[in-house]
Amino acid sequence: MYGMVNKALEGMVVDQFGEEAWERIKAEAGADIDVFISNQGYPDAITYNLVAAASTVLNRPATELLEAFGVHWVVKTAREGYGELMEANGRTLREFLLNLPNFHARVSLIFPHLQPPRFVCTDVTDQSLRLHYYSHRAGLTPLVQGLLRGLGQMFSTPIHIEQEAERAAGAEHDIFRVSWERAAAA
Amino acid sequence: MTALPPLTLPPGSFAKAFPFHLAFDRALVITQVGASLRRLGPELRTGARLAEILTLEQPRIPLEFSTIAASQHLLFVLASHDSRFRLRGQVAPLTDPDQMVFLGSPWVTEPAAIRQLGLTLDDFALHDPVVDLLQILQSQRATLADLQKLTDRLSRQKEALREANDRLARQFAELERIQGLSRSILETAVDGIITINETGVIEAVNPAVERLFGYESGELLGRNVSMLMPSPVREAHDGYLMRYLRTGQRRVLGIGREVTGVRKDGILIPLYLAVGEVTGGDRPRFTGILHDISERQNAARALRAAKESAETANRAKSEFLANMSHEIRTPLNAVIGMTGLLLDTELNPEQHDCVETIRTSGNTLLELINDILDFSKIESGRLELEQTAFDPRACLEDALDLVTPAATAKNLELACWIDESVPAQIIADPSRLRQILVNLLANAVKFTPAGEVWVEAVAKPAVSPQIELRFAVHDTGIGIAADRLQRLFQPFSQADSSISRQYGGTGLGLAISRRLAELMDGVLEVESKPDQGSTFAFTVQALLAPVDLTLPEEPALAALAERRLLVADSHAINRRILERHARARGMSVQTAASAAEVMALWQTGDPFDAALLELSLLGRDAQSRSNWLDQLPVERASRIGLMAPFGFRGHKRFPACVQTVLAKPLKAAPMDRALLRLFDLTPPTPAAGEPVIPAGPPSRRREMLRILLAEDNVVNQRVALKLLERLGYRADVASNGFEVLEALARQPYDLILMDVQMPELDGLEATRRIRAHWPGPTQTIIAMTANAMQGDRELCLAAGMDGYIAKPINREELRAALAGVRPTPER
Repeated sequence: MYGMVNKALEGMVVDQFGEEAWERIKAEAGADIDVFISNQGYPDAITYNLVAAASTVLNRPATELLEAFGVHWVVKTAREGYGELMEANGRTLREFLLNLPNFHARVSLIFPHLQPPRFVCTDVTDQSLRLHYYSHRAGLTPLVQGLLRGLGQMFSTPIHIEQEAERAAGAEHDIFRVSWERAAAA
Repeated sequence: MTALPPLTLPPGSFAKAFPFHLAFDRALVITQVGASLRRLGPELRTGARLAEILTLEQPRIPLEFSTIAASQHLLFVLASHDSRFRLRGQVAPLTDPDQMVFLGSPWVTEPAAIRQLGLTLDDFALHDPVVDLLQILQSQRATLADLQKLTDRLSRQKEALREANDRLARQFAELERIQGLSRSILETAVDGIITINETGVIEAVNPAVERLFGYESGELLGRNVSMLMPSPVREAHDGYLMRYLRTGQRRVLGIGREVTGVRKDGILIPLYLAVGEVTGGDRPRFTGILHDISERQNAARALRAAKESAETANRAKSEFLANMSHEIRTPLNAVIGMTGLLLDTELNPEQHDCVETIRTSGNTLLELINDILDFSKIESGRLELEQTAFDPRACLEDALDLVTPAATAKNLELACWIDESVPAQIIADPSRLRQILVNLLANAVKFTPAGEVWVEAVAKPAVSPQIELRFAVHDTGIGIAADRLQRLFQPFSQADSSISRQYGGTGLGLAISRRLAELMDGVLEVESKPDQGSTFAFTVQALLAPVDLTLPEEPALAALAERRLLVADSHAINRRILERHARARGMSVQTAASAAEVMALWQTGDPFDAALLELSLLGRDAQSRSNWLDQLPVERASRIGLMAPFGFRGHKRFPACVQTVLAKPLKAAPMDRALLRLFDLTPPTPAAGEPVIPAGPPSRRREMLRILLAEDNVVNQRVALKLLERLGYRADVASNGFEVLEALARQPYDLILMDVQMPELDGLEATRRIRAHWPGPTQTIIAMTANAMQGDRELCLAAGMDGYIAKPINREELRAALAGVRPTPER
């Protein structure tokens, strides 16, 4: 996982729980790293350990933390670091979601070691689509839900997410039915 | 180059692949604009002139169709006149030779620029890498920011590290300084400091240890400390350590003690060792501090030797004194004893006087020696006080008795005033109390040429059940100058050396008296003025006797109440004494100081029931006194008593009106008896008191009895001698059992009055030896003892004594005991 993910996790914890909580979490996870470099690859285990440690230290379920992390990623991290590009990725939630496959195609060119997830949009209507999420990593489904909610916030578009297929429950991949209100679309 | 067949794009495809294309003709008039470029620059419309909207920045060629056409191989950069955007791309000819097209896209370096230009990612062709370049740029920037953050953090950490290093360096310097100081202290310490580990191995020593034990530098390190100890400690030391480590029981730790060390050369050295446990190390360690105490021990030894030699010398001195006094007393006793024998023979008056002088001088010398012995005993702290119940008033009157003859001889008026506060029974040492009183009274008499000597006694409560008795001896003597008062109490010193020549004496009396008073928790003080007399006063602490042994008051005394008495005496003290005494009996008293006053009182006012008159007031001789008495109007007072000086013998020549004669000095019991006799009331039984008439000259028969008084206490000796003298006997004195045996070896005695408790050889043992050495009824031995207990009599009789009287000696008991003794016939 690239450093930006761990850094984003750090940003969320520091934002919501303070610097000291993050130090405790790092100590609990055994991650003796002062600064995560955004475009340097780190073992996935570090990220998983950090999430598990945060769950222990903050006494919250990992799923809840992951979802919150997804929201935070979109609203704070991506916007701060890549805000213009994010915005340039689409004028509306719909546009943004439809651009997601291209977005990840580009990202994987720029970050050759990144093993980005793959998104496919099907059944696209004006107010909904079906988002297929493929990842070689397990357990990040709540993160995706958080990302979607974050996008809803970014585009000020009330969003409804319904998970239609779940990899954790044996499905081949996760499928979300995402719908939104047209009125709020820019 | 092979010409490829021409490709023709449908218009939609071209527009999608080149959304920022711009076509123009030879006049540089815009002929077609891509959709995204139209969004970027709405002024770029078909028909507009290129040069009016855009500037050619690259290549640097004139903006003409021909020059542009010739620059197809160059990168073109076109900028809007208002510099809002720049386009980067290339030019290409079209099929129509009068038109060319610019193919490119906006040049952006900031992601924000896309939005600022009013574009989205969809405005760019998918093959256009601008967006991706932006992404890379952005990612590089993010990384740069991360690195900057890391650099900042590293800088901060470096700064913190530098500060920590500085701090460490300072602490290290301080540590080195302290270590240097510690090392210096250790190396320069006079005492040896040695550190061992838990197995007894020496880990560190300072140079003092090496010096102390005679080892070379470093020789001791790594070796077992027991090598510095003598057997059997050496063998046991490891065991001590193990026991401590196992049980934690401290036997040596924290306690300093004296030990012996062994030098390398085998010499033993005395050391003072203090062992402490070193805490906080990687293993148990112990540090011992060793101090060489050879010198201290030598000094202590020398001190002990000096003390022992001083004690030996002191003992030798005491023994010498005791021996000397014994050596002196033995011949002296012989001399005195012989005078006794001589006096029993026929002597002419001159010879008799000589023998008496020898005897008196011998006795004086004996007393002197006893004084010196006494003083040395007090000084050496060997004097132990008795604790006996006795009547302090009787004790005082006894002391008075002893000096009465001397006072009478000098025509001094002697009196004693005992305050009512003085109890009838106290517990103290009667002999020592009497010794002080006799000493002070004797001094007062000695240093008073004329006038009065009187003593007063008062008591006040001290810490219960103690009371404080205060005795003051007043005189009207020569007095002492203020600057000589303090020297008075120095041993062997008198106020004036001329005094000692004139008055004699050892000068020990006052020193002894003061020490005795102090032994009885009191003080002895003096007030004096030259030619006006002196007052020597002392206090003693005594216990109140638990049982008051005061005799019940004589019932006849009650009859004295209401009677009117006239008291006449030239001495105020005597008037006071009698007046108080008579008032205490309920009498009404008037006093007179002269014969004229007596006469005046007698003739006027209410008649008296009786009068007690000082003999000397009435006239110098018997005749004039008789005449004076005759002229008294008898009807006004028919009862008359006279107060006569001690030893007055002219009673027989008084007229019949004289009912009684009261001997001075005035004492309580005789006063009562005199008052009763004045009124023909029954006086108390003689057993309790004085004879009516003072004793006459001793009879020859009595003198024939040879008596030896064995008594160690000087004052008791004097009291007993005086009593014997009053009863008409003379006695020789022995101070202990050995002196008794010596005296008996010298001459036979009819009676031995034997004190039971005497130093060196006590009365019981002396009696046993007498009976063993001189068997048969040669001498009567009567015990005198203060131990008035039932068992004592049996003890005395078992030892071979014939009788027993209790101390203090009662005159009648003594008289009865003496009456049974007959001179031994075989003498």
